Amino acid sequence: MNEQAIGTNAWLRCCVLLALVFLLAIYLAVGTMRILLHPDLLVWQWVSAGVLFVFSTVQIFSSPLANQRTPLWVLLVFLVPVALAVAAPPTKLGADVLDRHGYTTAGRVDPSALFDREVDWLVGDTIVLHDESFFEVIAALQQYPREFRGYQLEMIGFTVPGRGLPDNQTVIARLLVSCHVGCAILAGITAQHSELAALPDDRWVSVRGKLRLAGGADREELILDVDSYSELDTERDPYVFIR
Amino acid sequence: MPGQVWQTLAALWRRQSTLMQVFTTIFLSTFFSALPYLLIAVTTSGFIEVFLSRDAVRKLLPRNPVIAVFLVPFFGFFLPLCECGVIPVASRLARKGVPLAVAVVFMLSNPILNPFPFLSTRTAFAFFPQMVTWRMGGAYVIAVSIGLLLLLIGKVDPSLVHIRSYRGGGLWSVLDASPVSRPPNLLHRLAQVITHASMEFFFVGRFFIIGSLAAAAVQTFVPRDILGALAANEPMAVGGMMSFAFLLSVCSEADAFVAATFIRTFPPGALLAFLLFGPMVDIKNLLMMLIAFPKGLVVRLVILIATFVFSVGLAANMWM
Repeated sequence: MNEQAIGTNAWLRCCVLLALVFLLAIYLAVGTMRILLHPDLLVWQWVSAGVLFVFSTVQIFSSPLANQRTPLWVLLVFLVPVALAVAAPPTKLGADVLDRHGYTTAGRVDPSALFDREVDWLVGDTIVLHDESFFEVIAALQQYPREFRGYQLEMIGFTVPGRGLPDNQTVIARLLVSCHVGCAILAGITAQHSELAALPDDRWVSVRGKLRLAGGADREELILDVDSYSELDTERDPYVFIR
Repeated sequence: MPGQVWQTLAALWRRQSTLMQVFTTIFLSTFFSALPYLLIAVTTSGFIEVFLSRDAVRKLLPRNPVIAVFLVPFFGFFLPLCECGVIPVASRLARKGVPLAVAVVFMLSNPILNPFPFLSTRTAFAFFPQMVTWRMGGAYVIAVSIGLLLLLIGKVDPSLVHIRSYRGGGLWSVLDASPVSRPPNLLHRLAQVITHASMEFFFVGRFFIIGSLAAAAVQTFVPRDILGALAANEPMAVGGMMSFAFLLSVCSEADAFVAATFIRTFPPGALLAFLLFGPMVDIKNLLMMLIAFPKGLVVRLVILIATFVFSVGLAANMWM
């Protein structure tokens, strides 16, 4: 291979890496990365962008190894993330996650930690689900259904109707994310209300009701008998990030 | 009538474009979350290549490979890597003279026996705390057993487990054929590290991207309901969850949360098989393994891993 072809290939590698750096930088700057990754991972994306930038500059310096030619198809593969980001930009996930990863039925909760926490999730006999305590409280409701029956509950979430539930029930859910949204799972509470259950997937609602114990001895669960609900005009962040 | 056809086509297009956006979201989230690990891995590999001679690498490990096989799984708690990032490092160690069996044990155990999967499994399986012990213990037993088996095979026919016998072409053959000269200047050596790392990134990254695309396609277009039919039969449930782990290719930090959603559908052994098999073999890392190690070795390794994980899954169904 002649020197000019090697040089052109090195420049192409440099451009491909810069395209990835550019994508990372744009996503970090405009906040798109926040709908893809746990916030704890964002700092590592800056590191990735920096390392890729260094890699890109190295390509155009003469070196015995950099003189290896990377096939064109490989360079195109590295452009796939950029091409997809332009052609079909990422979106917030929703109820369809149920069909991919399911609905969480397990979780760890240390009751003492829950009651010690500063977040005000229990106001009188009303449980208010905040992002900060969402996972722990949902896990507690699943783990100790008997202890929480009779409590009032207020929450905001999106609707996940159908999928084996009776016609007058739906799930009001959020998405739990521990790493990236590709691993997200649904978590929420089954709510009973005919009009609410008629709403389609991913409709944002604020609900209030009373928790009732249902199911047999082998599988007890809490159902929220909804007293009132309101549809929300603006779409919220579906993700609850857990550590 | 033409209006109806147009509306149907428009609705179909909207649905497809929404699905494509979901596909992109899952792919990019997988890609970006693993990218730092991959960059750390190729840079570590570059450092090993430039700064550590074969003798120095050998001195880092016990002389007796059997002892090394038993010790290496604990390295994950000091150098935690994901199932993709671990492959370039393991491959580089093998090329630096570490016995292949020891490098393979490092590759199989590291993505599970590190703090992140430990914590996520503990959190996701709080209702079922013995899952943490079974997962960590199972990963150790499987990795060490395969390592010992490879050492045995190496005694019978060394060519079967000798990485130098691989003539895979591409960068590896170039690197193996022309060891790095060692300039005394530290800056020059650092530049060599970066050059090595960047070329290795192009070499292994292509298969990581293709694997992530395949995994995102499975997640987007294949509903998990098809697994329901497998749940009734225990061996089928274990095999089904292993296949699901392979196809889904969820990272080992988060797979426990996905497995936990099956807790009422599948027996515990099947969930354990999901948690053990995925980090050891999935679409992404299989493609990467195929370029980092000889193909014959990878095929034997996958058969061994599948057999061990299947057996552990069935055993767990009896004792859990």
